[in-house]
Amino acid sequence: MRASDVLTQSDAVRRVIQVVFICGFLITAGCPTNTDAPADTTGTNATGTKAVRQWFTEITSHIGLDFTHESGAKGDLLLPEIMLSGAALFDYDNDGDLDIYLTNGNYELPEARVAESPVNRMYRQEADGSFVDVTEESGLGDGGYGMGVAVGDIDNDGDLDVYATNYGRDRLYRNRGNGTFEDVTDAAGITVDGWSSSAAFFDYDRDGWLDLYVARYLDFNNFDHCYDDAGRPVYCGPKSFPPIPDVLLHNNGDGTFSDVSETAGMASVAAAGLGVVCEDLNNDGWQDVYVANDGHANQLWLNQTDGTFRDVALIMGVALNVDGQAEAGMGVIAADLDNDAGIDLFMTHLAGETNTLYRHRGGSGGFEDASGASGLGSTSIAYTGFGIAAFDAELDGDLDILVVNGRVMRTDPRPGATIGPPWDRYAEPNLFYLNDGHSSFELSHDPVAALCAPIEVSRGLAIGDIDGDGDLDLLISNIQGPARLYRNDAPRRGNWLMIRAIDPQLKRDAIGARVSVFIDGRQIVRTIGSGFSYLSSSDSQAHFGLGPATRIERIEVRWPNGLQERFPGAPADQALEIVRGMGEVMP
Amino acid sequence: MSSATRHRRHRFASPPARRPTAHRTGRLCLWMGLVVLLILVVAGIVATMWVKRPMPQPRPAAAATARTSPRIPELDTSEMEPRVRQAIRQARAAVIAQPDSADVWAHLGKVLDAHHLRRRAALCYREALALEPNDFRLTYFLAIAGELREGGLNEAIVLFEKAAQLNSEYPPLYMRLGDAWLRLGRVDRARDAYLRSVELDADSAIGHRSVGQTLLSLGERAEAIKHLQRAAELAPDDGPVFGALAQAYARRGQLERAEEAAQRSRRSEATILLSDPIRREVLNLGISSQICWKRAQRFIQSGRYAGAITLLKITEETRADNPRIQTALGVCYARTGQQALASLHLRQAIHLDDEMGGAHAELGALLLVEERFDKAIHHLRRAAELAPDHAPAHARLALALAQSGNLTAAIAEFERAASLAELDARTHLNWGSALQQLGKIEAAMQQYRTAIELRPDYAAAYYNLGYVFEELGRIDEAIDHYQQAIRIEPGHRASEGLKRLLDADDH
Repeated sequence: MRASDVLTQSDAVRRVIQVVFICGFLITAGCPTNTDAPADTTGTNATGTKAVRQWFTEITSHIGLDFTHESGAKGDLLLPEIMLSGAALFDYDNDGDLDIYLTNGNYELPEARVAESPVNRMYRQEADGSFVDVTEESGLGDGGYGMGVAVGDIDNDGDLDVYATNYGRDRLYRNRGNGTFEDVTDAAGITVDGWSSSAAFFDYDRDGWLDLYVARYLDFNNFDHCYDDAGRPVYCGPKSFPPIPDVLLHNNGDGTFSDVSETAGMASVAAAGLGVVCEDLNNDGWQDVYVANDGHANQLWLNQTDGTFRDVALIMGVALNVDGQAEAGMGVIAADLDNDAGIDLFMTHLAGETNTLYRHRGGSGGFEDASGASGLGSTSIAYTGFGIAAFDAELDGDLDILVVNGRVMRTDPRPGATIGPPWDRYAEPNLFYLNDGHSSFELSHDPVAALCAPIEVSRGLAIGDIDGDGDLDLLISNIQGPARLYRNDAPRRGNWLMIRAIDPQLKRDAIGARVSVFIDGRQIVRTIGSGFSYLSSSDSQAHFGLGPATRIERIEVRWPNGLQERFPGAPADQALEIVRGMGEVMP
Repeated sequence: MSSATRHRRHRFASPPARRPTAHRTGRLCLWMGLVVLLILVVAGIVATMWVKRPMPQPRPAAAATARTSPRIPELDTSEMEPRVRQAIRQARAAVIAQPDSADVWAHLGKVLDAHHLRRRAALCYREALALEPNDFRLTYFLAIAGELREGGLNEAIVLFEKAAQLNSEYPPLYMRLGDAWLRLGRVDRARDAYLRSVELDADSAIGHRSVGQTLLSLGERAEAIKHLQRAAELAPDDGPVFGALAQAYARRGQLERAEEAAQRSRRSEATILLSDPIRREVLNLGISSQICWKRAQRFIQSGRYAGAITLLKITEETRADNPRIQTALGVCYARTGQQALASLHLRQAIHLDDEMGGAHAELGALLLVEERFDKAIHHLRRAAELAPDHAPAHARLALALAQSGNLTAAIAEFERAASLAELDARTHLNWGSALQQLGKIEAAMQQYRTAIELRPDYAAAYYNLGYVFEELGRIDEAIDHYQQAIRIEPGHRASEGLKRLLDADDH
């Protein structure tokens, strides 16, 4: 028996007090406790016990982020009000720090404005790290029934423009470069109406102009009323309404976009799209599109390099889960989750289903459902996941995962819910998974108790280095609740590198560039891009946790136009800018 | 017993009062102190053990079924449908009356389970199982009720395995066990469970599909394909089977076959459901309008219209304003020959939602039978407008137009339908007939030939083609086709044509 196992009676009494305290805290926080799990501890609290150091600290109120979401719900259980809304982190004023954009609902569906209706809100980060609401002056206060947001430089002028998806007509806002935006929806010829969800910018035809993929959901009507098996009124499911096809908008390079969904192949299929990610999934150097569909088979639109796409999701093994079922796809990410330099797909689903990891099999061998083996599946079965992000929280060299949750099907009010009735029926804690570096993920508990303490109806999730300290911070949006910003305070288990990849000819970030850094003979792969998660847009820079390496050996970039370049190694712990054409061209 | 009686008895039964001494009081205090101390020590040890215990693990089945004091689950039934509330209330009352009866606990569990109130159902099954620890059904139901809760899979596996010890011959049990293993990432264990299921039921499409899918995950492609192909034979309309086959072929480099399978998968829904008669014992207790609605839809899919009407009438009690339910009732009445009722419900559906394409289509078809062409065409045109890419809607409209004599418009709609999807033999026949009436004989013959290709036993198509040959004076071919029609349908009117031709030949 170890000395530490021997407890005196006074120890026991003290432990009882300790247990009562910790239990009380954790019950309030809603996180299951795991006292055996290694935890970083720091300091002592009022009771003299060691407190678990929290990896994420909520700084929402400290920095002036005062956004509270308005769904417009009045008890009619209209499906759109349970599906919104998104969040974005991007540098809208080119001052070198990240700003915040949050989409908002409305008091009425769909766009029947009433006096002082809520609008989407823009927050500018100041030099001292605080945020100021600049909605009015920026012109980004879109008043539609706000779903999601996509961010990208549509006119190659070096600043970031905003596409707001709505239940109702979508809107495109061009950045004038002076901190203000103009609504160019009509001028750009964009007529996407109905119910859009997530959207992502990418250059599918390599012409240097960012095109836009808009996932679209259902042809909703508010005539139908739905009931659960006990006869209680509930939100209708996706099968209650006909799905509508997604839209691909081609950037003509002259400020206008053309709807090319028909010729590209997307218009012929309607599948209730909610999540979208653009990525080269067959390693041919061309950007493909993966769409997570709600209740329908997912789609992998493989770029045929001639302006058309072909859905190969079934053949590649990413349409249906291992059980052959189409799941309720919500948010999606594409990232190398198992450190084999192949891009995997991970998406969130409804309670009763697992979140699903499709692991890349290498080469052109497609994917396999590895949800169970990875630990990401069974742990998620009780939750309804939406926003999702993969990032190296503690910089140890592998990607960890945060899933933000909130039900759409009613259940008993959750004890400890941060939000009151009726939303406490839908509130759920979020899930944070630590990657063990060997394809296996474990739910983390105590160190992230603060992150999952607010039990809300979470939807959007965006990541970016808010405070410029080299690790990634988190922005979470909640239905009918506050948006929350979390600073990453995880104990560092390694060094970091942030890479911005710029195409000088295009005067913008090279969206879609695949960046590899090499350390100790190991390759770590990230993609430049902002469109993933659910209804959200993150900072597009590539972030690397490097583990103990203090220097990277080299950087290799495959640019969106197919060119491959090698750049020299560099010390860790810095933000690098690499410019196309400045490296050594690779065969 | 009156209070006076109690008082008297107390007086006589009480021992003589003894005055406690100070010594006795001090000793009592000491003992009490020791007892309190002992409680604290025990509490400390228990708390320490609690602190040191690992992450909460699912209770093994034995522990899970250990019975403490029974607790009847509380439930807010205020928003439930009255019939559901009543069923739960009755089942609860039975438990209150007989808390030591496994049957009544099980019944309450089943009623709750049937209405998807699984957490509380699990509590009831647990109570029942504590009273009847070796009951297969209860073990099985508890496993199902608990598997989807947080951390429930491990316990579900323990329970499924215990259930398998109690009844090792029940295939659905192994399917569910396999599913649970699969969710935990134990593909090998899942495969074994599915294989056992297939061993017990060799014609289970879902069993073969699951075995195939797990084998594919395990890299055993050839064996996987065998099972998936068997599943495809047993369930030729199941989308997921062909999805898995597409993946399997692709991994073997058979890309053409993969694409073909993928296309079939895209065209098909998931049709295979786990057939689980024992579980049906629970599901049949579901009486809410939503459950009846879902069940009615399954009945309609399998052509059991009379049964569907019964269920839909229950659904209608609380959801009369739902146009889908009204449409479904209309369809079922039409299929059972109750045209007046069918018409009533279809009109009600359209009144509730003018965009109910199905109601328009069905009402149009009814009106067509009644030869009320204008109204039929109105509704069928509306159905086609609402589903512009739905070939059958255009085909139905084409037929109505043809029957009303508007042949040119009919042919345009037939062409539109054909551009959207492959048409069935009957539509080609009708198309041919319209063309024939317009004097486009060659085109008509082509449609008849297509109808025969699609349905080689289609007597009417042979007859129509024979008739065209007769008109063209190609008597031998006409006779051949009439004879073919008569071979297929001995009483077919082709016999008249044949007689006519043979008589003419005699003369």
